Amino acid sequence: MKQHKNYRTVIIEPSPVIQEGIKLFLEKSPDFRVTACFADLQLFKSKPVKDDVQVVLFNPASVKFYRPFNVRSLFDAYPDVCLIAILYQYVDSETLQHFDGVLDIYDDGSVLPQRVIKIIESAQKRNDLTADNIDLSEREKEILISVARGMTNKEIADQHFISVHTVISHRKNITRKTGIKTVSGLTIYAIFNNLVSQDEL
Amino acid sequence: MKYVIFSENTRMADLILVNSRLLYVLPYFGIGLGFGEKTVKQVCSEKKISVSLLLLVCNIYTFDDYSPDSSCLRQIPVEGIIVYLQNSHKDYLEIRMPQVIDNILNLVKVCRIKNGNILNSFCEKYRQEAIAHFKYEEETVFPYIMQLLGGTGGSGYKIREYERNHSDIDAALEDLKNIIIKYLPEECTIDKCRDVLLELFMFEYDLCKHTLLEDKILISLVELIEKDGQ
Repeated sequence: MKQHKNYRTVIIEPSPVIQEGIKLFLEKSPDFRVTACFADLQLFKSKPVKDDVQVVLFNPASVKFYRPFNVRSLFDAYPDVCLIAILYQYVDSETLQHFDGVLDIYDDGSVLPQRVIKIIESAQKRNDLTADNIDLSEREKEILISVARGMTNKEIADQHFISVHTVISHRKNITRKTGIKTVSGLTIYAIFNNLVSQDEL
Repeated sequence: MKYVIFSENTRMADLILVNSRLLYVLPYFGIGLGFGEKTVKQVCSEKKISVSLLLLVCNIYTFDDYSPDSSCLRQIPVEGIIVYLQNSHKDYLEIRMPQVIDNILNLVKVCRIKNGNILNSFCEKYRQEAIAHFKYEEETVFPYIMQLLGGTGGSGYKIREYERNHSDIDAALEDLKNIIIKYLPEECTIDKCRDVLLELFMFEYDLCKHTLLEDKILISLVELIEKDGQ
């Protein structure tokens, strides 16, 4: 039996008609569950989504950018999220390059889920290929230190004011980059790379 | 995809010439060297070993996408697999794992690795995990299967439980590989690490095939017997 992906999706789009329309077409496919819709980024930021979010459909025209801007940095709390632009007016290409893909509002609604799945899959492939040789980010190092100190995911989440889901996705990335899966292995990594000293453990 | 796999008419020596890793496997069947031109079938009948079991194990160890069909599976003697697994556990615990660990301890000493003691305790923890892992199989799973074969499988245990609880003891080895290859100080030159790593690679490979044999073959066979018994 084919397994449904169950991508948890958030839509950020000012027009209620378009918001509803995308939601309707997307949820015709069992692969998607739209967990929340927001009219703009401000509302999204003010009401953190409790669930893990895998896909964000975001209309870049809903925020004013006066200079080229890394849109992705707005979604820091969701490091692994697949970011897709909802497009029906002009957006400069420099802003668009930070998205994983683009959804054209004039597309046929019935192919919409397929389009989005394609974008998600190619983004995942890109991540797997490029993340290999990249050093741990500062955030990942902080999380790793907490792991080495023997903290649970819940404790780490509380300490860093992030959700447990975010902790888990950071940990997945740490493992992908270092190749180390076990907690004791990560502890050795942390000590050998001078992130923690052995005395404080 | 159809490809050439080992058959009962394969010459015994060719098994090793094709896949040198079988040097670790054959002793678990009680087979030594000096085959001359004898075939698998000949050696098995001399030593009273199940041809289908030997071929199954050798094929699993050699061809990555090999998977036996159900008629082939039915010919495999379950007692034979258990003896094979017990022999390999003994070898892993008494010889191969201590060797891997000794090599690492030695590396820590030779390279005077700062904080090297944490590697030592990692190894010790791994040893305890592996001992517990094998002990569960020897003391719970295998006796259950033997009871089942003897027609007295009423203990309430089911092989599904084993499938669920089958912990992963390869992860720690993979971590060790990554740590040695990527994160040791530069004083640990490649010629000092090479033997440690090669041994680790070999051991990890064998454990991975060993797990495959338990998960794919033993569990499906026992499930068949459980079903027959109902």
